Amino acid sequence: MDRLALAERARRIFDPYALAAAGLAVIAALLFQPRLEPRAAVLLGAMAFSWGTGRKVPVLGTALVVLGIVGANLLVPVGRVLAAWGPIRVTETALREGIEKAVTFEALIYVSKAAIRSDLRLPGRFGGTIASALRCYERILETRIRLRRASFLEDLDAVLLAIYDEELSRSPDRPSAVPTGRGAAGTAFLVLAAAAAWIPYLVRAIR
Amino acid sequence: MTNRASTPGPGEPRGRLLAFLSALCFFLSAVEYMIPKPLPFMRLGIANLPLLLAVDLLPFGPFLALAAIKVLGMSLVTGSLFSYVALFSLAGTLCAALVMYGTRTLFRARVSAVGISVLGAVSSNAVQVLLASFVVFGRAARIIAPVFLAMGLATGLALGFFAERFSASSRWYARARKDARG
Repeated sequence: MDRLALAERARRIFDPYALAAAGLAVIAALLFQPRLEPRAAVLLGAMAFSWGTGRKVPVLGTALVVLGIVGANLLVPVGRVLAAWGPIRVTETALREGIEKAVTFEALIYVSKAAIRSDLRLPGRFGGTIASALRCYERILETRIRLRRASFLEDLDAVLLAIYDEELSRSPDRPSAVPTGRGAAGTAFLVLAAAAAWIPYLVRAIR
Repeated sequence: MTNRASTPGPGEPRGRLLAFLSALCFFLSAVEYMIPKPLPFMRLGIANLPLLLAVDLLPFGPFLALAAIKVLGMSLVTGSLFSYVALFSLAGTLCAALVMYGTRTLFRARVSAVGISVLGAVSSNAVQVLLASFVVFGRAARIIAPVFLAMGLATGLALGFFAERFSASSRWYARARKDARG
């Protein structure tokens, strides 16, 4: 099954509001959890869920970000020296803090990626403007933009003018045609996933 | 009747201009998102171009709404709403927006788009470095700060020159100016 089909299936199964609520619950569990292992488990779970719902999971990019954050933390040596290569020293506390920060950073990104869908509509006038902007954004993405080096500014201007004119002539209250899920199975899955994220914290609290 | 200071509705001409500028922010954010970088909040700042153009188009309320929509909408599109990335984006964008609008209000035509752009980019990066020192970098932020600020200066200059040239010749911009007046 390709990414688009996975995303389509996820749209049918999960309600965007239930998904966002579950994401918030998982994030709260993540931030209450002081240990690295459960945080790493949340990261892996969120990566798997993101992949299963048709989101991009750039493993190499994620690894680079983790290395970047750990590397930045190692710039200031703190704690016992674990290894040294010339002027570069790897210290225990700086390494542990770097890994914890990197895992938390990436876990938040993937939970958010899994929980937030573009069909999540916010209420009020502000929400209406965001919905209108998202529709306009989709229109820009649909447009085949051809920019030539010799006439870059003119080409860009023509594209903007065409889309802007079209947007002005459109009825603003057109309802969204995107079908979204309201199924009990999807919601039950989300409740279980959110509850699972709290288990390590609750076990620790009871002990 | 539209209050000049509040967010215009999506059915009004200024509301549609706001939605269009927001969509441009989303598009440019998506372009920027695809450019590989060592840290997710390290940005070139091209998504601030619509904000830079909007300084002379929108009154303060809708301008601030554009900055907020840019952050919120992009967080919805990329799914980063619940992450630190959204926090960095919010702090950087709001700071840049306030600095850019404040500069235009204070100095009017005496400051060019290049000046506004550089001030916006550098202030945005400075706030992001400050936040990063609490969230991910710790004391190493002092070492990374000069690189971040230099990057802000370079991208601010490039974006400012582009905005200056584009706004001078664009038919769309002329039309948007007309719509912005209501």
